[in-house]
Order: sequence, then C-alpha cells, then structure tokens
Amino acid sequence: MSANPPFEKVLIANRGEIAVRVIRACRELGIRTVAIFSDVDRNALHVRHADEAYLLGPAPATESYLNADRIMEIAKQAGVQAIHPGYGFMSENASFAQRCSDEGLVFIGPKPDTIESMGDKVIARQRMQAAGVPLVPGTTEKLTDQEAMDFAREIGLPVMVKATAGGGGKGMRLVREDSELESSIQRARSEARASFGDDSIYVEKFVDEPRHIEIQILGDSHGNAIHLFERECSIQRRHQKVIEEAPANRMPEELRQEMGRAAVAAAKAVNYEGAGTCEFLVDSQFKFYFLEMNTRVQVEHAITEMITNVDIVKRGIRIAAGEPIGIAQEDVSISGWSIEARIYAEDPEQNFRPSPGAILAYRPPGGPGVRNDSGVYPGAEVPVNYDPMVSKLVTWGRDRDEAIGRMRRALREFVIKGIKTSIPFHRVVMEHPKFLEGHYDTGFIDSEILPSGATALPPNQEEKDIAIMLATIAAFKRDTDRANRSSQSTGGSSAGSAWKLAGRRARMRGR
Amino acid sequence: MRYEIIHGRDAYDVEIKEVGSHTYEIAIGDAEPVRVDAFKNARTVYSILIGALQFEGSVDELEDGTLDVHVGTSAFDFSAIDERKKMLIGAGAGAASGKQEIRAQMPGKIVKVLVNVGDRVMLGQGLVIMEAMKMENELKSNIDGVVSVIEIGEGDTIENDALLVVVEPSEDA
Repeated sequence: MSANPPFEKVLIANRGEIAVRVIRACRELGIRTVAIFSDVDRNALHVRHADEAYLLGPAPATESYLNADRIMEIAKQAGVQAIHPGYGFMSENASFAQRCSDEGLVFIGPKPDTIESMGDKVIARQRMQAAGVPLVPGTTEKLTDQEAMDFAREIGLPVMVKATAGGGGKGMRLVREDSELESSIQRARSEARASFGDDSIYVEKFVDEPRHIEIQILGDSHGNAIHLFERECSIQRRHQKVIEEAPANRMPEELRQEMGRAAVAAAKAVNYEGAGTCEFLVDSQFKFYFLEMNTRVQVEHAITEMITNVDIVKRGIRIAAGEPIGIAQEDVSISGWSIEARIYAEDPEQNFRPSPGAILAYRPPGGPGVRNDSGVYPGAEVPVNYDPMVSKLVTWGRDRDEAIGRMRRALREFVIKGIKTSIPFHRVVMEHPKFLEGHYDTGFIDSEILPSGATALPPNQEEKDIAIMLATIAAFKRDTDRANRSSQSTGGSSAGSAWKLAGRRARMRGR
Repeated sequence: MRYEIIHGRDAYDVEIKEVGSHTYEIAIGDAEPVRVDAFKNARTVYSILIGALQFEGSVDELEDGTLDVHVGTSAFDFSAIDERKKMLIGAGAGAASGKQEIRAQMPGKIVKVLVNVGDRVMLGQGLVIMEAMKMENELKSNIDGVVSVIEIGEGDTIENDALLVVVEPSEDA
C-alpha cells in the first residue's frame, strides 16, 4: 500500500500475538521486520512471520524480553531505525524509550516523559486534575501505612489500595472491612515490591457498580489528538480484562462525547504521540472518573479497529515516523459492534489454573465478521514463562446481536487441543442474561458467574450420548492397542491391522 | 466388548463392536445398537457420523486414566471400566476419599502457606498460594481433614509435581 514506507526496518520487542500483529502492520507498510526470541520461543509464531530473527537469551523475561542491553545490541546489529514495544515488557518503560532516542533509534510510542508521568499514578492524577479530567476521590501522594489508613477512614470504605507503579491488577487491593485495612495495605505493598521493585501505594474511593470504559486516542508530534470512541471492558477476572466490547453498552451519546473530549484533553495535556488509551470508571449515575492512561497499544485495540476501520497499529508507526494522524475527529464514526474474547491457556474448571503446553490440534474459526489475532499454531508451545494469552477472538456485526451471534458461532468452531483454554468460559458469558442485556459492571464474573460454579455450559443430553460413545471408542482403542502390543512383545502372532498401527503411532505422536 | 462408562454417580453399560476401520456398533444400556463412524487423524479431533448426523468431539486420557471428553459445547469426565477390570475391583469400590497429596501442577514459586501441620481443614479451604505463569493460584483441599505434612515454605521455588502438602481424612468425618 505504501510507496514510501515510514521506516526501512523495525525491531519488534515483544512476542506472541502482539508481535505478530505489529509484524503484519509493518509488512503492509513495506517495512522489513526483525523479531527477537528467548530460548523457549524458537518455535513461536512471531519468529516465523518475521524477515529476521535474533536469539535474546534464556527464558526468564528479565534475561530476554526485558533485557534492554541485549535488545539494543540486536537493534544495532540488525540495523533497524525503530523499535516497536507492543504491550507489556518494554512498552511503558520510560528509560528504555529514552535510551532508544539517546542511541538514535525511534521508540514507537509516546515520548519518555509522557510515559514516565502517566506511568506514575500519583503524577498522572496531578496532570489530569490540571487538565480538568474528572478523578476518583483519592490521594495524590505516596502514603505511609498510617496515612493510608487515616485517609481510607476519612473518605470511607470501601477503598482501593493501589501501587503507584502498578498496572494489570498487580499491587491492587479492595478493602471493604476496616479489619482488613492494615493487612491489605501490607499485601499491596509486598506485591508492588515483587512486581515493580517499588512499594509506594496510594488509596482511592471504590466506585459503586463501576463499569470500565476506556477511550482510544491517537496523538501526533504536530499537536493533533483525536479519539476513536470507547470500549467497555467490564468483564474482568481479578482486574484482568477477559471480554471487551466496542462501543459500550448503556452509553448516552452525550456521555460518549464528553468522555471523548476528556480523553483528547488528557492526550493534549501530556503531548501524547502515537496510540494510547484513557481508562475511566463509569458509575451507576453515569459519572465518569479517570483511572489511568495506558501509553501503548492496548490488547483490545482490535475491536476499535473493527468499528472505526482505522488501523491503529499502522497509524502508530506512521506517527512515530513524524507523520500527522491524518484523520480528523469528524471523519471517524462508529460502524456496527465488535466483541473480543481473550483466549487464555488456562483451565476454567480448575480455578483458571494456567495450562501451558504444546498445541496439538488447532483450528481457528473463520467466516464473516470473525478476526482471530493469535500467537499460536498447531505444533507451537505455550511456555510457562509468559502471559498465558494464546489468542484474541474478535467478531464484528452490524449490531450487538449479530456480533454476539458470530462470537457464539466462532467459539463453537474454535478447536484447540493439547492445552486447556478459556473457550468454554466465554461460551457461558455469551449465554448469560445480564451480558445479553448489556447490563453489567466489573463485578460481573465474581457475582454472576463464579458463585454458580458454571464455568462451562451445561451439557445437553444428545451430546452426552455421543460423548459416552466416544469414551467407549477411546477405551476400546486403548485396550485393543495394548493387547496388540503385548501379543507382539511376547512373540505371538502379529495382530493389529495397518490402521490400528497407524492409529497407535498417531496417538504416540500426539503425546 | 462391554464397558461400564462412569460419569459422576451415573454408570452406563455400553457394548461396542468394531465393524470397519473407524466404524463401530455401539449400544448404550438397553438401546438398539447404532452404527458410529468416528474418524480422526493425529492432527485432528474426531468427526462423528451417526447416519447423516455429524458431531465433533475429542478425548484426552488424563494421567489417572480419566477420559476428558468434549462433544460440541459439552464436556464430560468419564472413567471407562472393561468387564474384567470391573470384576477385579469388585462392587465395593467407592469414590476416592483417602489421604490427599497436594502436588504442584507446574513449576512455580510458593507465595504463601495458609495452614500449619495439625490444622483441621475443610473441603475447599485454601492450603497454599502458588505463583506460576505470573498468576497467583490458591491450591485447595479436596476433603475435610487434618494437615499432616507440609513440605515447602514461603518463597520456595518448586518443580512440577513436587509434593506440597498432605491432608489426612479426619477420623470423625
């Protein structure tokens, strides 16, 4: 599409589906791509999509995807002009962004001081307050244990105790009872220290029936900023998003415009460059409060791409090369509805225990309105070392009903064997009356799904009969295979037709 | 060949006869036998044809012999016992209820030990919080009982399948 690529060569400092997503954007722009991989990712999909690939080092993230020295070394060796950090890992690391610019490389994302001020929750609140963006009542400075307790009692429970360096639910504690206050503060501190090496915490009011609604923003180096409307990300488990929708449910047009304006004001206040997200909480009275700004491309950016037809990743790359956004606010509009289901390698029946391992059979869904941004393929491994998300299943429809219908259909088509996945759990949500009504808040999973224990749809009788037959066939094949093996090993006449042998080999391979 | 397929408290007598390379005649209980074409290769799950009715399904045999069966949107855990084994086990076999060994299901780190040796624990009570793949998980007791062994401490790095805690069934349970 591009006669004039914004860069010649870009290093993608990430792995999994987002690395693949960025490589795809680069390829469409005519940019050569450089992948990096750890010891356990030699067989990963992002390596196979790239033009060049370099070994980082051992599996632990600190020695690979978080190893700035090694990444810079590879960037120079490969001769790239820019580094795309994706999300997670280096994406919100201001000193890495600074280092890129010091060493003459473009960091595809906002400027280091934008990342730094938005990465520190306390400074972020101050900046947003100054820009007139509404905030949840809370402290703006780092607190001692005693100060935190006093303040929590002053604004009244429930409160959230949060790590100033936090994100992704780490170092975050909800406190409803006064008796839990002290221990929760200490727990948040110890988690913050373990996850971010910084145990500073602050306290804020817990918002009633909160919905997590965020605004996608784009800003450029010419002082322009626009928003690409909202996403509702209220279906969360342990503060981690599980299902997202765009646009949001129960969203009066006035509120949408107001939140969009606030997000653009926030972006301009920090001279935002590239793709980013303003996260807000919306309460039962339709009041919204700034939560945080994510200074990177978001996992759930795809649903916004589906309803706006704007390629957010490509725009981000062009902006990093100094181009303007190239789209005016009045040129973007919402078309239809999109839903994303994050497919994790985890077992919903076993309290969502991670389920790493080899992908044996894999058949992604397809057809109208279905997009599957995946980091795996048949034969790939989901290593224990990183985030267990394997795929983002996204559907689009002319309206919400069609998007849900396509999601149900796509979840039914999706075959992943070898690991457990959250697919059965998503099927439950797609049938839940409150979800279908579009009336839910961030407590949905905890209050509507987990208490019932229904982490998979109830089995139906017809499928049960088939399953009994299938179990019998499997047991029969197992036993006849065993019998054949023992008769062969004792020198008995060779039983077992060719197909049985083939079947046995197939099963051995499958292990 | 006859099997007893056990699902929770239900048991089904099933007769299976191989009639082709991936075709069987199967009768559940007193029902008429049906002809089932169950096809798969190493890279696919089963496609099941009963007449013209088509279903997709898969079977995974877990380490303890449980068959984890998926058909359409339904999932079941079965055990399959053949006639000979059934006679060996006899009629008295009940649900597993003895000493319970909690083991690590994957490599990870112990974040917190929630119990002490000698503690009385309830079914579903948390024993250990373990971190693996950047997620904290609480390992729970599957029985009412008493903690008899704790093999690990907070901060320990552990291998897959490492023994963590043993819970003995309470005598008065």
